[in-house]
Amino acid sequence: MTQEVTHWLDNLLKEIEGIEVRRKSSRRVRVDVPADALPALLELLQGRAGYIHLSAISCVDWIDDDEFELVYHVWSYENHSLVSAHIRIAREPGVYLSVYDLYQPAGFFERDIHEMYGIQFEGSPNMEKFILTEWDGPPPMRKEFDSEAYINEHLSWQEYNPEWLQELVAEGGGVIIPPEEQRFSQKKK
Amino acid sequence: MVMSRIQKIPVVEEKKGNPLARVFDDLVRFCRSRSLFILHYCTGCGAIELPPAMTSRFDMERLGIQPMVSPRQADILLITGYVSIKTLKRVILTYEQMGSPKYVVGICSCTVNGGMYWQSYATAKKLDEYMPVDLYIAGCMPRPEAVISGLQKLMDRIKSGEADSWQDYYQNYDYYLGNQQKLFGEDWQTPTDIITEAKHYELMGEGTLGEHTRLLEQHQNPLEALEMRLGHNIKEPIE
Amino acid sequence: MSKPIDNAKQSKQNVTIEHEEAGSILSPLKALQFFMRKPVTVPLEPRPAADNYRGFHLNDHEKCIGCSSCQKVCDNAAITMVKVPHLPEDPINGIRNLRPAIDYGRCCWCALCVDICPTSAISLSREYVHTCTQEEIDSYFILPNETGIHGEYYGEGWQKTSDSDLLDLNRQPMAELEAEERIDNFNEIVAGYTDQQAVIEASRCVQCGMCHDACPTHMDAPEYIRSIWQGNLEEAVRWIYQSNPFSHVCGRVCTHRCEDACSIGRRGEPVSIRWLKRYAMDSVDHERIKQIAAEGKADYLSGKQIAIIGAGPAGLTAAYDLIRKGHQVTVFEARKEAGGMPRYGIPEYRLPYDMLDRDIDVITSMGVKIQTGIQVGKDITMTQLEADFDAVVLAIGLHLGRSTRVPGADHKQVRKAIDLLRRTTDDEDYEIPHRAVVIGGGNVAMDIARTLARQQQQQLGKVQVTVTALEDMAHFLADPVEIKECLEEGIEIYDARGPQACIIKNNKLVGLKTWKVRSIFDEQGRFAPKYDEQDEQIHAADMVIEAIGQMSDNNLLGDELTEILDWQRGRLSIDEQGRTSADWLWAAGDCVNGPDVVHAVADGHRVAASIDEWLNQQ
Repeated sequence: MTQEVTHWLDNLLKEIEGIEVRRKSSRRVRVDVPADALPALLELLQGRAGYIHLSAISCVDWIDDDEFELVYHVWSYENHSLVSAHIRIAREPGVYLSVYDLYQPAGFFERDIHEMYGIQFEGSPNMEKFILTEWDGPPPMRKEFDSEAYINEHLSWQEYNPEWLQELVAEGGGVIIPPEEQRFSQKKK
Repeated sequence: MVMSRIQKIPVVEEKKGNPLARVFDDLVRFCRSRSLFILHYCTGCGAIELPPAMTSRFDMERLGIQPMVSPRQADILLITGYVSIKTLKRVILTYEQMGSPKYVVGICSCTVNGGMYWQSYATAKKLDEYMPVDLYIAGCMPRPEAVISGLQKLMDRIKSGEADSWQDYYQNYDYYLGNQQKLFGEDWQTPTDIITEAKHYELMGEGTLGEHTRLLEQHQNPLEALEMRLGHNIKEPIE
Repeated sequence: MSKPIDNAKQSKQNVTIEHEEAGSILSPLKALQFFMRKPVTVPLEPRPAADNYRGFHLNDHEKCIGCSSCQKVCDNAAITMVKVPHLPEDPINGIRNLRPAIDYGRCCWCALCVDICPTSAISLSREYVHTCTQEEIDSYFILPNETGIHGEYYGEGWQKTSDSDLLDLNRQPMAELEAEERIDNFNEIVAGYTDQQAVIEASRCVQCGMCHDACPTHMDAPEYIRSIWQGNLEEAVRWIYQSNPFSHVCGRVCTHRCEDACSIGRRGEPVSIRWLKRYAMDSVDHERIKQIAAEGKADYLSGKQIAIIGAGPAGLTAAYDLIRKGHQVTVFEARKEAGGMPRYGIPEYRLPYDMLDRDIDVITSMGVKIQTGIQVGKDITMTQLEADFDAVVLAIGLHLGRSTRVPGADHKQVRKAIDLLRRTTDDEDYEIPHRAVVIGGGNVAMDIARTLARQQQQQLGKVQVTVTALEDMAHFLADPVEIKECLEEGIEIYDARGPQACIIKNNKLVGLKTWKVRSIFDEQGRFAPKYDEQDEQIHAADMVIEAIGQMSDNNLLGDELTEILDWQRGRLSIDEQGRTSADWLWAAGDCVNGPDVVHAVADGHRVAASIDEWLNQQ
């Protein structure tokens, strides 16, 4: 990507209010926009800058901030560059607009995110179960979902009692630190 | 200290009846052990070790072991690694469709205690809760040589008649069904009628029927033959 | 788009299959050419694995110290630490009788346990076949030893190499003043870590907790080191104040048992736990430290009054704990200033007194009253304390120097180290000797030697200090760093020399006579030095300083109380909680435990807990 194109894209992006542009490399641009400005940004990128390919929508659960971060990655075949548009939405109620009308593949990603994070995308064609068809627990990628607690409730572990262990227990030894307690030091003050 | 010293104490059976029949039984078991068909169904990472095990380098076929595409004709169900809970349903359906005697081999760490997916909400941790397992092969994944060593051990056990876990599924069906119901819900049902089969094989044990099978009966829908369909409508010619 | 499909249809219709000439009917016999070839199929027997194959685990139980780093690094939670009672357990030297047991229902043979192992006890073998039936499933859970899972040694596979080692065996260097820069002043020698050095040093820690077990007051070193590594220094201070309110002091002059036990020290240099503590304490604002220390302080008053005699580490730690529990504490200190032995025993180049003041300020800011210049036994009697307070803690330290009692030791130029150190702190003048000879090989001997060396350099322009010690260099009691720095500063050290007499001519001290030490202890391990009388030396001196140990000044108790209390070989006898035979009197610190700051802190916690429990029962 030539210097000129870079310059041109930066100028174009300035049209969006509240935008913050960070150039990560010659082919990667990160932009942070307010959530309500994202459709306008994508329209601009698709219609005027040639970013016609939505390669992914990713989601991050920032539970301490009470926010979800959605990242829209759009690719241009013309200047071979990727723009990642980051927005933050409130965790509750966790509703956002679908960009299906701009990029049809969005339907696929939004369905996935809905399933994994429980975010509702208004206007998305299909919010049915996707991969977790037989799952009836909470959206498992949300940070409040405790995978280990879920496992302990629903599944059981192998309970070994080999001879050598019985011998050690008879001697006064035995299991001192089970592996569950080894996840760093869990000591509370 | 070393657990491998634990050997199963061979049970000496009082042989009775027609000595010729005994010889015949031995012969059948020998033949059975020399002609094993592995179901062509793989679950996790361990599947990658099977192509070399089957093909010319390690050549499982010299032991009489071959892949087989249909569960009804297969003898061995290899669980080659982690079993996601969705997959587990399919594995159980498949297992129940296999004709007896049938053998289950759990490969890799994951089939024993969850392996590296131990924290995953989506994978089952202990295969033996859902179906009886004849043999485990340790590794993550085991090399083809280890797989073949395991299968040789299985062959020995078939020949000696020790590999009889399939009977356990009938005799303790209530236990296995209970674990399946715990995971898949109370209305879990498979197309195979295990209880009738158990009666057929005369393998009704104390653990065949119980609270879980009663629950199954409550929720059981009568099984219907599936409609044979090809494409959208078989009458219309395909363009 | 339609054109290629048309073409395809057309070609399908028109194509006729033309069979080429396929050879004769005997062509399949060509396959016979493979008959003599070596088959590609390998034998059924498992082949030997590669040299660095990652098979089942091996563990050298002799080398393994049970630090459980392998368990912490294992992301699959495959490792259980199992107590093996017949193996040695020695927390002071960093040895636990725990050994890792591996669950092959979890393990994925990533070998991180091998790569992290501080002792390199654990390795992977070249054995890779294990099969078992359902009944033998317990064989998936093994306690690896030197031979392997089936008791048959297949050779070592993956082992630790310098490439795969996850540990950084080298310490971050500590900036220090050079000998020439420090010899004529009392400036602090050690500069302390920079932010970057501290994070790198903290990142060396494997969080095994050996330091925690070895520390007398069981400081949460793994936790505060982790907080430092995360850059959360306030959290680090919070962890530090869980167990030690004397952390500015301990961060500088602690005897760091933790570092002796550190598992990284098995193959490399232990983590600089002491310097990291100092870094955390120095980096957080003093006012903020006060707030953090006051967190969790009781918001009520119990109405109980406690007197503590002696404002040293033991007394003030007890005061800190007790005031947190809502009791009112008054500390009586005979000297002009609080601080005890850290102030009056440790020279300022090791511990700047404003750092000690900070630790004391944190404690007084919580409401502890310190009355300095009050001598119990003179200004106030023990009987009075007993009457006025609910409990009394005796933490008077060891402020009387012991004498060698060799001939001439009663000369006025034969001084006690502890006395001179106190005078230095109090700025009391005493005549600086031209040639000083120190008797003793402990840290106090080094302290007085180096203090005198500095004063000689300041006032006389040259250093002439000699240290004579009973022990030989290999068994010196002082810190190796102290010895190294002593020698750098131009102090002569004569090891294995036993003092025989102070030589006095014309009522003037001229030197010390020593004999070579053959052995210090007899067969029963009792102190009974044997000398080689032929090997005699005279060390010229106009002052001899005895630094061979201290004792406590128990006169303050008064005859009556001394009579009531139980004694054991001149020391006050106490129970495990630090309580004396009188139910209102506890004793803590050096006066019952021997000299060590961190032991004193541990003692302070112990008596405070005991007093609090007792007061709550009433």
